[in-house]
Amino acid sequence: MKYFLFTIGLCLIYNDQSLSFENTQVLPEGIRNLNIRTVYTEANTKTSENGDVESLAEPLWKPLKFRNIISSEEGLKKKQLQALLIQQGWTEDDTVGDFYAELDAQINVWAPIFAYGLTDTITIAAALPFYSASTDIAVGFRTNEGAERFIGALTDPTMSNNNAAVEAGEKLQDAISRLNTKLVDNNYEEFEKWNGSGMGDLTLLAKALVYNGNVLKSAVSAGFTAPTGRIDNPDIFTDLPFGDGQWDVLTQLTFDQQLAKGLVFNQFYKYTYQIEGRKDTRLKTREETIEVEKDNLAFKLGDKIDAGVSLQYEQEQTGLQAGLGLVAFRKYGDRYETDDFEAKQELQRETDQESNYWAAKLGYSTVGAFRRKEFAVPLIASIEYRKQVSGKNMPRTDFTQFDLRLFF
Amino acid sequence: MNKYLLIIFCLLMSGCGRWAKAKKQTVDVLPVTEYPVFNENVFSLTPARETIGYGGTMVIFNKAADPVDIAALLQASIDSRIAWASIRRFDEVNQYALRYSEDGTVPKTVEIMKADLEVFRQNAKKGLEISRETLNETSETWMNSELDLLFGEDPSRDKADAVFRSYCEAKIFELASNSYFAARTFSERPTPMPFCEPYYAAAQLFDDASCQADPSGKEYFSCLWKSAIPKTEAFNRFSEGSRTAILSLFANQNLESLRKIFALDESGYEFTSDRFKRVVFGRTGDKRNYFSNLVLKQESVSQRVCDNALPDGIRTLCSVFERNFAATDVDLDQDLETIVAIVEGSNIVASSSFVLPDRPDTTFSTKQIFFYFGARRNHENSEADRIYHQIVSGPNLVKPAITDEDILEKVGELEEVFTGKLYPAISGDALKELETREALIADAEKEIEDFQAQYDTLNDAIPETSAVAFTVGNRPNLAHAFMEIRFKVSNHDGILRAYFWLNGYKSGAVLGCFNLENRLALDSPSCTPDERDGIPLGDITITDQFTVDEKTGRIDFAFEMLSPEKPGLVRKERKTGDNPTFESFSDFYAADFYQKTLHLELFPNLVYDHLEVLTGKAFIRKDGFDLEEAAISLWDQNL
Repeated sequence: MKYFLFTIGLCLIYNDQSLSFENTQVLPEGIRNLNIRTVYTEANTKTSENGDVESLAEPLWKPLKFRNIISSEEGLKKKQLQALLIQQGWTEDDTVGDFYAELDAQINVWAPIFAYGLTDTITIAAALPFYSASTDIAVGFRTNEGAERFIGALTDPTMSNNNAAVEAGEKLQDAISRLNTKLVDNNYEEFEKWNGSGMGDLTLLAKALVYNGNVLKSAVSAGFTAPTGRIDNPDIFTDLPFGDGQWDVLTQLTFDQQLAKGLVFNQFYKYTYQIEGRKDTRLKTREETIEVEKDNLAFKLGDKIDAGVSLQYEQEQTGLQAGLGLVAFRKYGDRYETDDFEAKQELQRETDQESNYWAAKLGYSTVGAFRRKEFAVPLIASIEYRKQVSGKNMPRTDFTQFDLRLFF
Repeated sequence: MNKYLLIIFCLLMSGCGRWAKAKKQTVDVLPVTEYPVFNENVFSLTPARETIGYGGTMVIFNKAADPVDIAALLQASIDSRIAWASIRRFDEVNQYALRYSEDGTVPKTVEIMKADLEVFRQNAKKGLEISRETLNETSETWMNSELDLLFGEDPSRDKADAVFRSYCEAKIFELASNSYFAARTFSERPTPMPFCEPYYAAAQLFDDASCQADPSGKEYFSCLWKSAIPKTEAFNRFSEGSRTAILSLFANQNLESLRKIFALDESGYEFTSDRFKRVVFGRTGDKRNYFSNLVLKQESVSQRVCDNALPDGIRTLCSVFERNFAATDVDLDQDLETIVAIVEGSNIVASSSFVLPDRPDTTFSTKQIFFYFGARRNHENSEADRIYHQIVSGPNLVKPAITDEDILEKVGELEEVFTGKLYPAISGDALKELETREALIADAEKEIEDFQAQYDTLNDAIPETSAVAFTVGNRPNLAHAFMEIRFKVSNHDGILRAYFWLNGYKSGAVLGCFNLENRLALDSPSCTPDERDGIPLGDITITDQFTVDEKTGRIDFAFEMLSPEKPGLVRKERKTGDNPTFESFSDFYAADFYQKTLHLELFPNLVYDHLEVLTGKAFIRKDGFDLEEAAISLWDQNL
């Protein structure tokens, strides 16, 4: 679950450039541009490794096993419970109930992107997003036939252990608060609402128009992302990171093909190399996510590839902009360095991601009007909607993005 | 510039005030178990039942116990509870103790029914007689048909024939020396064994005039001793000296005296001839008791040593009847009593030397037929005597009392085979009534048998499960102590009294009292034992820590162990060995318990709706800390 929250945050962070509707345009020398980008998204589901849709809190959908109950007991009581399992022919992996949960996340990002035309063919840009995010979690619990058998065995007159049955029943009734207690006992924060705000990772980028034909244009971008944003707290299940905690190096190739006046076919290819980093990490395993140690691990997030095509149209006379595009995203699996094999497996599980979107854009540019001295301010305002059509190990998020680009 | 700032501000504010909101998830959990309802009467005590005595075990666990061992103990405890509950339920549902136990109402009723049936049978048979012709036909034909049944054409029949011939001769000697025979007169020659009549006829043993019938009645002493016995092969196997001695003993002048002696008539000892008296009893007649004991009363072997110190007459007769059961194969030359024992199966060792084929379709054997009809215990008549002998004077014959359990069970079947041959057949309405009564008895006996078998099976499970529990309890590292405890509770006039002690330490019980009216524990001196509870009053310790929660049924009973040895909290050595010892043990000494508190937390329950149990835990506490923990299992044992 932490991983998918992490991904939601990062989806926004690395979109310091508009990935759906790229272009090869650069600023004229000496011209500055401030792009105020606002992105809003929310999510409560994700896709599994098979592409199936499931709750974002699915990792919390854990059975309550006798093993979990036994681990909360000690001394003779623990042994007596183990003895009961043996006597009844049950195993510690048998369950008495299931926890389930819903997690809802909302994120607002305001990203001021400042660009400056260094030359007529080279533009440099810096982006420092500001996040405001919140999550809410609701945990449920239901007992199953295993619990009925458990209570039934204790209350069977031949066993005649009603007192233990009452105690067990009360504990099952109180399973969620006991889960929270268990979290606190293991230095986690309880399951509760979370919200936070702060700066994200700083991205610096240079873009060069390397070919400027009448029909075909191409640009090369290169830059890096500095880990200036807040990373996730390993002791909170429901927080959102605003940064990924390590440096990224990115490069991009962009091509524009003039199809007709005002109509451009764009394609781009972007590769992001994520440099190794270290962070405090819970050594959770598939079986146990709470009673685990915390360690400062070296990690290497998987590199990312973005690619997209789009048709973009701008009517110079009216300043109207429109576009339709397709975007594909792929991220390779993460790697964590630990001798704990089970934890390593779990940390790396479901980190290989894919996602595909279609996108639509509407905008209005006053740049033409400004040049014609018909408008006082040169700016471009646009709204973009990105719809996820398929994915693997990705939060199911659609993005709504507002851009206001001011030139001065 | 202001326009720019306004636009930027609007964009910044566009997402404000929206917070994530997850949908509330449901909690669907089993309701918390409720304690069994006892209607505020936790021990189910009533004015009609003012006390209940629980017995069971307290196992003080070793903290290093293996869960596998605890599981085994748990299972043993459950099995034991099931065993006790099953038999209690069986008893109460079926009223077993009252109705089906050995002295229950049903077996007693069956005995009465059997006695009534026998009376009915005898009454029904009154006026029904088997004719002499039928009896004679039976005696003449039965032996041959029986041997046909057993052997057919098997050549081994010849050997059996020879044994039966010896048996028939031996029965003559047996009857001849029987006081019942000597004391009576008969209208017909009494047969020594009716099934032997064909042999007697073939050997012409009873052809002499002394053996002929006399409707007015006579004794047949002379017939047997002077006519039949001298003709037997057995007699003629004796040495000439013995034969001469016996013949002279039974010479005419002595015959009546001997008959009286055989008839246990004291006047028989008034001999006219001193010589005869000397021959028989010795010079001074001091061997008279030998004669009676050895020959007539046929007493024990140790009294029947035939040696040369005895007078001639006694020694001779002694040798005739001397028992010798040591033979491994039938020996026709051996003594007469052994031959009888071989055929009638009255001696297992002797009988094993002569094996007969099984009778088809019956549960009894041919030897049992011979035993039932031929056996003469001491000086009583046999069943065949009762049927065949025609008494003119002397006491009437009675049906011999059967003591052999195996034969006793088969009497009905044995006699059934001879219905119409030796026993009259009841018919008509009497037969229907008889069959109805027999069926009722059979049904009742079957019912008793079934219930007793079920009870025995359930009863056997109790020691079996206890043995397992003791064996498990003795496993290394499972427990520091495996104690047999007792907990007796009474309710007299609204005061609950609970007594706790270890088995064997009743006189040192710990007593707690609880006032049911205000639900408060009583302390000394308000708390005193009640003599109606059957607890010795001498050395009881009082505790004021006894409470009962009317809602949950929880019972708390605690006491400070200032004298732990009084209720039995002392060291008890473990018994070693592989077999369950049924012995409790305690590794703790009394000093280990001293000044600590034993706290029992018990909960009542009802197993199978019939067995009241108390289960729970016990803690040995000191300064508020639980030093040791024990499991307690108690159940109503009518203590």
